[in-house]
Amino acid sequence: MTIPAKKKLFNDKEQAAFIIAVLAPIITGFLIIRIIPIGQTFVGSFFNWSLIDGLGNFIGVRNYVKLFADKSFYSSFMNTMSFTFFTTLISVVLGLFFAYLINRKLPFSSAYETIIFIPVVLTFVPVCLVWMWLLDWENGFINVMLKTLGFPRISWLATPAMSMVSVIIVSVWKVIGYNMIIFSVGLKSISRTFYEAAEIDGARPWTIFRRITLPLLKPITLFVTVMSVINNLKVFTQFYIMTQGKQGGGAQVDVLVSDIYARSFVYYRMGSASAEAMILLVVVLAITWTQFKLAHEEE
Amino acid sequence: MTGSINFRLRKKANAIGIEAILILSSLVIIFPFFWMIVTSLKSDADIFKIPLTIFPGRLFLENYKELLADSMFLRFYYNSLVVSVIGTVLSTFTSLIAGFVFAKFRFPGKNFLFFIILATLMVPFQCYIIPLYIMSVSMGLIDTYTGLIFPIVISSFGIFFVRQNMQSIPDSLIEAAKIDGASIWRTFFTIVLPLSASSGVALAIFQFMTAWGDFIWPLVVTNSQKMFVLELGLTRFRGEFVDDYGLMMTGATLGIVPVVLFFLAFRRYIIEGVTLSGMKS
Repeated sequence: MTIPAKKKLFNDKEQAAFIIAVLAPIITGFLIIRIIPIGQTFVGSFFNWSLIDGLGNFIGVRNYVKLFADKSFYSSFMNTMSFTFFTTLISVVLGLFFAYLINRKLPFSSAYETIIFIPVVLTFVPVCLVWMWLLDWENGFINVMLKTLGFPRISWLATPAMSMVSVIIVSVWKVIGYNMIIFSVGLKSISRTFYEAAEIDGARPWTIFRRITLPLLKPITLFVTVMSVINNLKVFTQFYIMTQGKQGGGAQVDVLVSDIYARSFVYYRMGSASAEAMILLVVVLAITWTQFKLAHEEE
Repeated sequence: MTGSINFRLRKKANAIGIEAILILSSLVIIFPFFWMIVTSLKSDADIFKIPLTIFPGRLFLENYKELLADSMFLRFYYNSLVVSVIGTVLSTFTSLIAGFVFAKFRFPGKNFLFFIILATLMVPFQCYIIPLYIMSVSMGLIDTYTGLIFPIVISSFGIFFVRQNMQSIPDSLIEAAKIDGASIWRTFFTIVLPLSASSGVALAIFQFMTAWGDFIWPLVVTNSQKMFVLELGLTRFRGEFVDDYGLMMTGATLGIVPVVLFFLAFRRYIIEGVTLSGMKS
């Protein structure tokens, strides 16, 4: 819907003045807060660069090579991947599940929808505090209940593996509503006639779901999955609050962003941190690109 | 006949089953809030009482009194509001006006500029936080509102989102304004903006919530408690008062309840904003 060249809305001079007045500051600002910093991270990842001594000499890909041999990078990378895998899988499945149920138009559908969506709008810090209290070893609600019912208590935040499980639970809980909403947009766009035809044929709900709903939802599912993967790769706050810092019990779990954070703002090794940031970027871009390809194949 | 009755019965049973699952799930999802509020109203004795009681023996308001009398805590709120409001106003405005330019004008370099903006949409903030931090240090922006706000004043997503929406505004409306002798600025403010009001509000709410929940940038750019936003301020409950769950839950409640109220008030817009923002790729 761009304007045909011969049919201009405004005269050239006025239009040029307007465009320059608007875009000059915005593009300048954009350069300063986005483009240049991205470029600097990229360039800096090839330099010896510490916060204290400033930019040192060019060292090629040595920051990258060192990273791949670095234990903390390796474990951060693996933790990020397993967090992303499980959180995405569980939250996408549950999001679809709830969207499907809510789309049945029961009397209180919109109330359920609102409740399930509430965690999405909350911020992570208070949410993590609440969950840390629920998961507390001694007095947390969940362990007290387990004990009362005769089960052994679970040390939710005491080992790295269990910390991971706990963070996944919190993250899934927080994002289900988001996935649900996106899925219900998709579900609403599926024509009723498909279902009616299937029902007349006597198809069972599960068959209808598998044969009609799922295939028609494929593009949305791809989209939700990719969004979710990208967001999960960037995870930081939950791990920072629930597994790091003053907490006692050494169950620290690092992820890529927390490792970038520690490298740069705790150890001041900006070059190494920049290389790690670039690796994160490459992973994110690769996934975006894959989605793009797959989505086009669909069409 | 019997077949159809059976069918209806089965449908009914199904509906009841679904209703039950939804009620149960909603209860599970809402439970952490309930427990948070209940804990915030309990004295220590009640919190650690065995066997556990659900409701406080008597309403205990000391935690609220303590936090609301704490000028630091109110300061966190104030800082969050300043940062989120100014950040939202600026980023929404820059998005609206740049989106307008990209939607309704032809000029050399347009596609290139738009492509650049779109390309950075995919770059996670964490990937350029280091230069932003160094810039903030060298310009003396650590522990200032400017430092907290400047990275969010222009939004790639916002520009893209507005452009998509404004493309559906018919050129004829803009042209009519021109025939009436209005300048481009005037046309923008009197014709284009009112027509984009609903998407503008959805965008603003989205930006506000993003700014309000931001954590890593405030963590990096502020050192003194005086400049902490609420998200950052709340982390101290994890350290200083690690065992004081009553106080911790009071802090969490004060952090969460306004957001929930905000959500319930603007539910339609927020869900729309989230859905639309979801469609950004």
